[in-house]
Amino acid sequence: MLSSSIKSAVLPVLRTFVRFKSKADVSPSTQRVIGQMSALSASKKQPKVIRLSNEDLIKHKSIVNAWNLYRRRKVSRQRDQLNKQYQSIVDAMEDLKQSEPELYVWANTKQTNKKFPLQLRVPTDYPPSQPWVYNVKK
Amino acid sequence: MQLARSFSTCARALRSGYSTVEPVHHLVKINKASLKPGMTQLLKSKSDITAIGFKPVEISQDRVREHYNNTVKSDLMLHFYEHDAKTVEGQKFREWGTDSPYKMYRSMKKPRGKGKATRNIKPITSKNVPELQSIVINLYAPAIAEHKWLSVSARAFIAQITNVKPQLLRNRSNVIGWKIRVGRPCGCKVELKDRDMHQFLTTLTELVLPRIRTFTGLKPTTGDTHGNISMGLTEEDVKYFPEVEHFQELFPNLFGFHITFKTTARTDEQARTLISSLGFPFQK
Repeated sequence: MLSSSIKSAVLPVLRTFVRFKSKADVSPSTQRVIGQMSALSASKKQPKVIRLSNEDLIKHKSIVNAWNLYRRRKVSRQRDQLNKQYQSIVDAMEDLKQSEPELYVWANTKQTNKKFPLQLRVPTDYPPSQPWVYNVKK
Repeated sequence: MQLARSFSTCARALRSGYSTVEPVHHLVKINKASLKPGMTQLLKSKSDITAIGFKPVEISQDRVREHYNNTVKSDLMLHFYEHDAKTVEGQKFREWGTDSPYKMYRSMKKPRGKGKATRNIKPITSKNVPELQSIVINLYAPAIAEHKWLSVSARAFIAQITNVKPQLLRNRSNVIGWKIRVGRPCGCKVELKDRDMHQFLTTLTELVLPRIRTFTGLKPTTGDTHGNISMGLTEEDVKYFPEVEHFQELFPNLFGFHITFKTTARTDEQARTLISSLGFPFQK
């Protein structure tokens, strides 16, 4: 970025921060930088610690535990499924190697520079009415 | 019993209660100030609701994570599968040999090729399907060297679009021609992980990149040869981020930046295939 394209007037931000508001007038661009600085700093943005009663804390902990258990089971289920898929790929290729060696060579040829189609989208709650455009112009 | 005074060390062994174990003092440095009871709050993890820094993380659905786990992961595993594949050994530091005594304690010979050790490339199984680890945003603007206060604007801008506080970068060398001095701020960087990363990714692929007219896709050769993909956005491009688009008076100075996608893929080709599954177009 060139210095000529900087939009605000370049005024030195020389200001001693004091506890109370001073009457010294600050240019709007300086004020903006001060605002950005205070937005970045962490002071006064930390929310208060939630004070929970013992009963509420136990409730919360049991909900969190149940959620973690659910997540863990989901992860292990997905992992097991992937392992099974992998094992079946290995078995199928081994089978092909024994029965059809020519087809095996063809099947085991590495494909290079393959990409997923751009139409593959991350699913949303509200997909477009025409989710797949069939005649894409490239 | 009174022993005669002597220089012999045997006298010490006769004493009762003498330990043969040498006392250990200050082998491990302990910051005692951090052991006081007031500090125990800080030992709690941020997921603990009683902790001071408690931050609820799972507050919404993680669309990209679910898409990757449900759709992409098994497809990638199938695509990268190669029967009877062997591990491709990377370049390692080498021994000089044993035929001469002069080679015995000599430091190891540099790896072949570029002289840098590289990792082994293992065949893809269900255990090591490539996935996106993190997104690193690196902003360097020469204008910051001239006007120091612009570093605040740059950091506020990156914090606004990523929801993570960026780290200030400072120059590490003196270049008189570019008016660069050591220690002066010159930009900022941030590493996005997990949910922040996925949020940034969807914003980029769904809202920003489709609106950039000059964008034709990532370069088909992009990559650092170890499975990390990079792209760049100019200051004209970044104005399409919805977080700054509607607050132009708050962010009058925008900056371009580099984006690096760090993946667990070991080759660029694998990484490119992975990135294409997350909605990034590639040039032909």
